[in-house]
Amino acid sequence: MLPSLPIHAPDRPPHSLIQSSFLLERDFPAPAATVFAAWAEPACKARWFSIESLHRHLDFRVGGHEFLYGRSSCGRRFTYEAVYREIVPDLRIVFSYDIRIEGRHGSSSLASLEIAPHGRACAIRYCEQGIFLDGLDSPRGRFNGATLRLAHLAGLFDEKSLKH
Amino acid sequence: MTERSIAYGTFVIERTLPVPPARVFAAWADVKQKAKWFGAPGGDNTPKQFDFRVGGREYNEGEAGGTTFTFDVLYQDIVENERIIYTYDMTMNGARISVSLASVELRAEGSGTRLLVTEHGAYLDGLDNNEQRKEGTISLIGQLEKYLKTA
Repeated sequence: MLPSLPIHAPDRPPHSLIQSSFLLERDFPAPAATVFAAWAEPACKARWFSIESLHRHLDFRVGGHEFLYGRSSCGRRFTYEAVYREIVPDLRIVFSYDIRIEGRHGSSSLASLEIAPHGRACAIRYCEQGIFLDGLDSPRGRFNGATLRLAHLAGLFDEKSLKH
Repeated sequence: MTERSIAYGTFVIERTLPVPPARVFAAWADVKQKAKWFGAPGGDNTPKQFDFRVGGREYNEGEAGGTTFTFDVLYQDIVENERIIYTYDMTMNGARISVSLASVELRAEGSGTRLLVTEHGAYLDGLDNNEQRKEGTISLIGQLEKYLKTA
């Protein structure tokens, strides 16, 4: 069972941790291989994932790193650094990542993507288990961000279905 | 072919230890001390690699009853005497069984320490599960308590 989202308290003492998890499920009108490629191929991932980033690097293999930096919608400098821990082509990806905001460590997360093929479509389960540090970042913000990113990802497949 | 699945789970272990936070922290941060409690009882648990700093790796492998295990850690946040955050994955006979995110929090309580260990796990293909990992971690923390009381 996943614990529910705690309410973010902005007046938390220094060196405090918030533990929080969420699970998102989506159906996509694209084959599993196409959805997998949207995470695995740098050019494809740049079209939907953190599109506001100014710099990005993706080394998609177990033990490989991903790095992005940019400015968030509220103008704060951020970096995202991930390490891929488990990859099964077209089926699943597990990675850990850290967010730094204005140079300070805001969160460490474990993210898992499962893709279940349904003919020419597929269903995904995306889970994030996170630790939020010192009130710099919030579980609610992360949940909203992930929801938005999956909407951007879904948009990719809508465009494709319009083109073909 | 393996049936692919991921099961998610979280557990928390809380203990009061009779030594100050600096002593507990050192038992995680110093490889010689950690080898004395972290791992199979009675064996040589000195890791093959131990780089205790943010971005550093710990790696160990071993064999028990014909089964080979690997344990691969990435340290992601360290505040001396206060907290450690890391992710780790484990394999069994070459198959990855889990990827986990863990925090260790230490808080001075009188002359002792309140220890809080939290783990979030993604358990793969039914090869491990949250209950089993919690039991294993409770044993390890028991070994830590024993080590700190006798050292």
